[in-house]
Amino acid sequence: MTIAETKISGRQFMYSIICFIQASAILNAFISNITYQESWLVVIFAFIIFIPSVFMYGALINRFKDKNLIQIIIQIFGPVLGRIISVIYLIFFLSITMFNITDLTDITKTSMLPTTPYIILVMMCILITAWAVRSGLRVLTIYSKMYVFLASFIIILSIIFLFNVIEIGNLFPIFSLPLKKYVQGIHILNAIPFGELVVFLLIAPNVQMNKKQTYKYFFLGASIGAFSFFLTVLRDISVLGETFGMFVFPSLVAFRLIRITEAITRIEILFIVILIILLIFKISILYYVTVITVSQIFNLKKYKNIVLSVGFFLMTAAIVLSANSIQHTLAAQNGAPFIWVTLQIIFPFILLLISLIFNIKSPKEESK
Amino acid sequence: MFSFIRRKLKYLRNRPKGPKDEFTYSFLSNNLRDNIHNIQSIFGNSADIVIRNFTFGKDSSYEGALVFVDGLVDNIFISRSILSPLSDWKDTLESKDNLIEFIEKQILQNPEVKRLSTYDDAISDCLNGNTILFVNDCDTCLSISTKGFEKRAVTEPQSEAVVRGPREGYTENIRTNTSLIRRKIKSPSLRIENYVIGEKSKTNVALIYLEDVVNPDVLKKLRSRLKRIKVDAIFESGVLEEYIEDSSFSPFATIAYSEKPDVTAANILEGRIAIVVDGTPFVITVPMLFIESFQSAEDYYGRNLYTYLIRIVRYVAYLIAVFGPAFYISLVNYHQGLIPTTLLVTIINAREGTSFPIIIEIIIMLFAFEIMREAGIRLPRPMGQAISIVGALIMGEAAVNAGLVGAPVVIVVAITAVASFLIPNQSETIPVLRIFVLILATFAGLFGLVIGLLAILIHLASLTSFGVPYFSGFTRYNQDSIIRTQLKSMTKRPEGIAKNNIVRRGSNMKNYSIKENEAEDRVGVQI
Repeated sequence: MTIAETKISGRQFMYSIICFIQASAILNAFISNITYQESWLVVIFAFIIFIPSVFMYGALINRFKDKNLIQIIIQIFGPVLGRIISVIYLIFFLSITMFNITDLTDITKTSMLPTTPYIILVMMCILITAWAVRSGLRVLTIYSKMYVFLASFIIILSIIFLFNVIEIGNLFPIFSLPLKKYVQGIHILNAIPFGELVVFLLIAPNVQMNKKQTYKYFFLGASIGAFSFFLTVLRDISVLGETFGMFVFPSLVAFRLIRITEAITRIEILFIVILIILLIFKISILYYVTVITVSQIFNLKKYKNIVLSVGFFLMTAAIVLSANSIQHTLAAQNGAPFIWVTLQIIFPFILLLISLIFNIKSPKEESK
Repeated sequence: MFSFIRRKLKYLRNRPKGPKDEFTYSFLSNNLRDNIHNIQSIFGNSADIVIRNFTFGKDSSYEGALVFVDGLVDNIFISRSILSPLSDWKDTLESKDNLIEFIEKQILQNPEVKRLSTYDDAISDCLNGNTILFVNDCDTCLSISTKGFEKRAVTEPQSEAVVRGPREGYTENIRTNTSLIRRKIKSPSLRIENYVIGEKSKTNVALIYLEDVVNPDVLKKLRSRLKRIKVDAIFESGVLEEYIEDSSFSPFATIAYSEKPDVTAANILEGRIAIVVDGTPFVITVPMLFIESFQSAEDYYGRNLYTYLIRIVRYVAYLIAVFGPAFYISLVNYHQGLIPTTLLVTIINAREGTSFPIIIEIIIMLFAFEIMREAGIRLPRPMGQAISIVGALIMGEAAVNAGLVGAPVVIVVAITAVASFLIPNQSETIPVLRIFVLILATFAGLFGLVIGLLAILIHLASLTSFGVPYFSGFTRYNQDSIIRTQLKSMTKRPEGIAKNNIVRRGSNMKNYSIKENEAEDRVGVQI
């Protein structure tokens, strides 16, 4: 059974990947209080270490042209064991969706609407993303290009506006921390903005691209996303200096410092508005992936019927289970990387290995 | 199996019962009196049906009768082109069998004559303004085109005034309208398909398209949707629009309309299909893209650089019209920090005297504006002016003085209202979206506004017009979207609309350089 969807173009896939990384990276650098002013260096290292994983994902997509991650697992491990593993993935997708919803509501609450209750914000977010998910993948990704331009625009604009407070000296000294901290930082970054790209394995079968384009678009998407992440971290460190590690949302603080005479002050809300759009895009992708996973596990023909049920579950979970972004950051730093990296990188790698060893491919006609 | 039976039963119960045929008579008889009697009984002695009996031929040996509807025909033309040639003919034929053929071929001087053999055809032709000629001992009749009813002249369209450009507009007559389009596009590949829609009204509807440019999928869809329409009457293209459009619940119109033949012709040239409905000066074109609402005929007749500006002004005006009040509410209620301090002080001062919350103020003003607009449109023109005076003085000045609303609210609502007039094609969309966004912004400030914006975007992305994505056309391949490129470099038709024939023409026209100018001048000198 495959999910019937209109196919999206390879370019749209690429823009979605960029947008996906930008959405999480612009806001929240989970390593800020671990590697401090050297975080920008860690971002570079982390991406270099992540590059093989990008090609691993590409190879997996190319070997199973018409199957998404859950279908691959079920094909390789059989219907029972495969489904058990899929449930683990489902929990993983649910938890990252939940964390991102919390992030969104948290940044909205701290920066814009301090008195509005969480539940209103979560509900609005769930309703809009549910609508997007129900409209299908084409509608979901159609604006990704626009969002990427918006995000790049605010990154560049904020750097220009912050020229008067940027101090290059803040970026140094480098290589002053113990080796352990670098490893920790790289590990976290591989789990959180980059490793989350594993969700695109569930979208890939609905993308129109040949084998070469798969690698090209995946790599381009990841690297442009990583570059904007790098720029953001660079900006925040050079603006905030030693205080960089003290804030939950360093970017928000950086935006607050924008002040050009009396005319342009306190415009951080306009930046936040664009960030909200990006985050909603990311949540809708994660939401879509969660819904697809559920429908694959239960072998449903239509995924649209369960969108709202999953939404209500997410809403409750986001309100009850995760209180705020600090919890997200703590989870991202302490527990998550060890479990998540297994699901994000190690397990897909095992899948690829098994399929290479036993020569499992899909569709089968191609293997002949 | 049970479900199958149940389905069948359900189908039988709810089966649409089509109207019975109105005419139970089928073929004409050989006898003139029988024919006339049947015609009379079908029309039920209606006052405007004229039956003129006469004799002709040598020694008045032949009998005939004319049937026509008074008011739909040109009486003088009938007497001059049918009756007088027949009475002038003082001869006889050897056999009576080919009398009707003889009359058709040799006596009548009308350009358009048809031979009919059924009552249905005869009646529908008669009701369309033709004159039916019955002759004794013949089982066929002649339908002679004698249309000549009152119609409005081609005048300047009321709804789309232009400073520069053709001033002719459509009329209520379908033939005039198709001729206006035919006069713009003198290509043999321009096709006009006729449909008759409406069980009672029998309205003529014409599809006009260019055979080699049109997207065949759209044409197929349109034909099948038109054939499926089963209604009593179609009086306006807007009625037809609702029957054939993709999503009738959407606030956005997915079918464009125009009153100007040059606009329709340009649309047809891009691969769209025009639908002309008899009895209305509004011609609709499908498929429609969202960006079409922001294009006007004058964009192509004026200076290019100016159209850059005016297009952007239109998009900004649209955003203001939809998001203006919502943005104001979220600024004043939630994000006062975004307002410059001096302006904030002014707003606070202005709001000091008012007692209502700001949302109530805005709703009062928007509602008052809609009331006045509706009143201004429906009333005769002299009274409309009175309304505008009442609106300007009482609603603006007095409401502020009385402490009902603050002055900034009046300004916001006024700008919103004026901005919404810039995009006439979306004027029915804007108020709906405005209220939707307003409610969201009241409860969640800019966050709500963003949610509203995203909701609108999602809805727009999922809309289609006859299978063509409605919100497409914002790509760089489209040479006529946010900005209108130079006409010289506008070489392609919009993607999606003209599917198979995207290239308008080769790009052989460049800007004339100084060298070429000099060369031309030299040639001129030699001559």
